[in-house]
Amino acid sequence: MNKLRVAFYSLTSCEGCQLAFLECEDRLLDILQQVEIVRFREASSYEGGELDADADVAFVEGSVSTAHDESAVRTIRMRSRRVVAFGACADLGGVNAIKNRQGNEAAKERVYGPYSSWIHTSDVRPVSAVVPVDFTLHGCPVDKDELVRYLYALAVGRKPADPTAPVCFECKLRENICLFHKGGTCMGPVVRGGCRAICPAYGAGCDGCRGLAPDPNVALMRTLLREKGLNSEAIRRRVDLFNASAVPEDLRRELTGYA
Amino acid sequence: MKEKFLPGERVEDLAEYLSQRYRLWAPAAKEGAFVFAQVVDAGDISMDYSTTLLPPKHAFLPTAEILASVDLQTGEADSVRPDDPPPAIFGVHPCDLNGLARLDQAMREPPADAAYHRANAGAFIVGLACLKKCRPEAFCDSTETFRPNGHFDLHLTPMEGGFWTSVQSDAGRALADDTGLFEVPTDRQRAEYEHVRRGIETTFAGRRLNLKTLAADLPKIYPHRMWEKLAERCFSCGACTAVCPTCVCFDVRDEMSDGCRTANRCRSWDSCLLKDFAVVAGGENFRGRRAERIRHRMMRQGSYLARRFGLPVFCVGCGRCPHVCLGKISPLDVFEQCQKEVGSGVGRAA
Ligand code: SF4
Ligand code: SF4
Ligand code: SF4
Ligand code: SF4
Ligand code: SF4
Repeated sequence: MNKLRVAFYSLTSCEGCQLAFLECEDRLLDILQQVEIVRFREASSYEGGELDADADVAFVEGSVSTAHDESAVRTIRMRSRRVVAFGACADLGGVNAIKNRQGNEAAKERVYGPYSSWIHTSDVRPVSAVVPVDFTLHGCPVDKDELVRYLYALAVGRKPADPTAPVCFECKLRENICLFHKGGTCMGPVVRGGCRAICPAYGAGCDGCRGLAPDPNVALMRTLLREKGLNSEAIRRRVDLFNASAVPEDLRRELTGYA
Repeated sequence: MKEKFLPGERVEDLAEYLSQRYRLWAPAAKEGAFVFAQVVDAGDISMDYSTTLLPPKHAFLPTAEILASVDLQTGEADSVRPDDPPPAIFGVHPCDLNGLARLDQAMREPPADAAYHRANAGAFIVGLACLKKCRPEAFCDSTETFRPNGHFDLHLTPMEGGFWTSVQSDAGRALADDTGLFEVPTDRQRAEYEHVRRGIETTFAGRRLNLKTLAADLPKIYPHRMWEKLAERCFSCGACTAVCPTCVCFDVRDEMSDGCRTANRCRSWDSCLLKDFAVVAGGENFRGRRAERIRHRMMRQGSYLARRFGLPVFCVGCGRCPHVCLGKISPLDVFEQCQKEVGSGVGRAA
């Protein structure tokens, strides 16, 4: 059987999702029985070009924030049979997209000060805004077990399962005490799960790194957050952490209360 | 039914005895709440717990499990679970006894669920009476599930000096004799137990539902606009079904492991509230709207399965779902509103 040719690429990101793959130490040798890794800069000493390989599946980490990102992701798309948006940045724009709400010039000025004119950056977009995406691995970072399940499913030619249940569902299965009952707040009711509610399990409210669940009841979410004392600005910050450009404008208005 | 008395100081010995012969599940504290956990030390058991986060259902139907594995190199299939001793569930409150009985009914319906029955075979259940409501959201009084229903081997009722013990099954009888922990109740203890039992009846006398007609009433309001209103308070998060002792729906998926050498048929709990629960081949979703899903759940709990299994109501009033639901949706309120619409309600009973 031919091994699945897999490439890992990185656009604008912290490269933590690639690291999540490397952290599957106990399973890497098993995985490599099924998978041939053809490009993986973070994990190799190869010094040739990065975008010169053909792959069955390209895992693209990071969002598109520069002209270089954009041309890279187009090349990747052309040379790969399947493209997986790999992690929250690729899926949603993620943390990088916070700057979209501030304007590029202001953001550059704030970060690079007098050198800001050296920096060329555009509005942050998820991978799917530039090229068609076949599958998505959600999360910041991605869940290791889910990643391995994806790889195995793709290796045997199956469509990977991509559950959409809100975080609350898995939160209950874990027998967590709800943050709202402990005096805290949480976005879990409107956020797509699959992370096994890891944040509530450790006492932190969900911040939505896996994006909105389908058909989210954002009006009710807003009511709950307001009852706990969060004003529009606090809700906006919460939403913008991972979803600054991932929540449709009408839902965003309903959620934050901003016109 | 035989009756015995268990002196209070021997309840840990009973748990200890069970733990040596069974996989013992019992109520234990977790972060100020309670869970049914596999306890090793009888001292960790909370006999005066209110109610648990999840019902004890997962002793028989784990939240996630592998039903069968196939070694793809040898073609050998393995569907036998690890050779654990059967489970004993200790200290099950009446609502959950009724819940386990309903679960059993659903899982025994042909085609009977093989994995469930393997997990259930030889199981031992010890009930524990409630003397007062566990939490304000509970409505086991209205569903009349505050009494044990016979779905147990032993049932303990707390009273002065210990526990009145009802022995239901042969296994219960054999165990009670074998432990040597139980006493023959005195007349005074019998009188005292009768007093406690009447007290329970008084405490749980409030009824907000007319159980004679509920199952027939609900379908009458199927087209009502109340479901749209209700859906405004629903996230479609599935928390309600996750905590429900009477929900039985699961999803089955095939997944690979060990570098794709093994294929596993995996089962995990599912929920009819989730958006894609009713998606069928071709992508059609026959309950695509939130209002349709919350209505389905209420119909299922108050009517469909009640009628199918000859019960007045399928929900056992445990109060878990109204407690966890962040939209504060309670089946009791919905059932009550339904009976108001239909004109069959009992009103708020004294
Ligand atoms: S803690 Fe968050 S995810 Fe968990 S049940 Fe509460 S709202 Fe839902
Ligand atoms: S709980 Fe929320 S923020 Fe945390 S991992 Fe899950 S989706 Fe991301
Ligand atoms: S009824 Fe409540 S718990 Fe159930 S899905 Fe709706 S919001 Fe979630
Ligand atoms: S529907 Fe709610 S109250 Fe009724 S048995 Fe299920 S969790 Fe308990
Ligand atoms: S719902 Fe009723 S039977 Fe169940 S634990 Fe509470 S008081 Fe006991």
